[in-house]
Amino acid sequence: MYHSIAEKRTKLGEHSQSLRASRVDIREQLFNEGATGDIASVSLPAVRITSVRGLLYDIDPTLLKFGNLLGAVPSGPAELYENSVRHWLQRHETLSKAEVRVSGVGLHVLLWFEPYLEATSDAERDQIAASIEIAQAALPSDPRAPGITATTRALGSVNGKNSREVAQLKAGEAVPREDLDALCADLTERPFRHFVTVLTGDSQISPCPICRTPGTTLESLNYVGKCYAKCGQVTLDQLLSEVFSK
Amino acid sequence: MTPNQLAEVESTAQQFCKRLTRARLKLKNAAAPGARKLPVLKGMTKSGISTRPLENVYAEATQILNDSGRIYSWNGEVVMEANDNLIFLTSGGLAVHGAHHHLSNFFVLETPQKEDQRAH
Repeated sequence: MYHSIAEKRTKLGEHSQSLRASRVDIREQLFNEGATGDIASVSLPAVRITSVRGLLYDIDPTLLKFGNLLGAVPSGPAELYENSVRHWLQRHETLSKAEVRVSGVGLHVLLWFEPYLEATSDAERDQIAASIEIAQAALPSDPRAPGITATTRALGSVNGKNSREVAQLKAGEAVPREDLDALCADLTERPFRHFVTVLTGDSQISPCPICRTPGTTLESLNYVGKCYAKCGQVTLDQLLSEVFSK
Repeated sequence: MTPNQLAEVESTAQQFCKRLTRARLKLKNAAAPGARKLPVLKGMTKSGISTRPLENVYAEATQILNDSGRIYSWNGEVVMEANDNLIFLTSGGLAVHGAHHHLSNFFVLETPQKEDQRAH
């Protein structure tokens, strides 16, 4: 029972604030039971992980170099998705099954495995961990992001750094183990071609994004690229220097 | 220079490529499910050259063999227990032919990466 409208507003405001506070920085495990909670309660060391549910690509716009290969600087994560990430995902069969969440400043792109990747021994877990780390190189994401121990921000939670609510931009589809293996094979046998195709939708870029000389073309081979006009051989590191900002 | 300091010097693109290379190597060298997990002896090349104090490598190898519970010293020779039999690994203090095949059941030798690449 409220004695005045002002009191009612205050109480409701406090209630809504406490509800919001309870949702701040809630993380979701991408392994074991998929539990949600604060980072300290859901984080586990790799040795305690027995099944992997998902794979995280942490796409941080502050790490990306806009203007050359990636187009104009986006105004926020939703625009980053619309202008760039949506196209990258559409260009690869496995990546097109990913879920996309606004994590606050950037995006969390998630591949959900169905059935889960079960590790019944240390050797199996090591194999899964290595496959996950290889597959995490399929998109220009933060290379310092954790592998099988990664957690994502839970849907409906609030990012404590900027008070933004974590929302879903694209629903995901189940990814079978075979698709993960195919993605790993792609990145092991033709990493350069994979990146050029995902970023541009073609196997060549014109003009060459390294020398940017008009009339030049960067042809993608499996491991390196070739710019016959000026650069000569272009390594993956050189190409990614035009994707990452620092 | 610590790994964190090194990470600050490296560009994000370099870190990204290194992580991919490391993960590929990790997958290539990962034990298959069901494979035995043997102790790893570090500090010696395939040709027997020690890359760190030799006595330390000997001490570690001795400890691994002691821990296996299947290697004994008998009559001045080194013997291995296999299927209730003793197999001589040395004769007159020298390694017998095939001794290294038997010993490969007890540990693996981790060779420096450069030598590994040359070998392949």
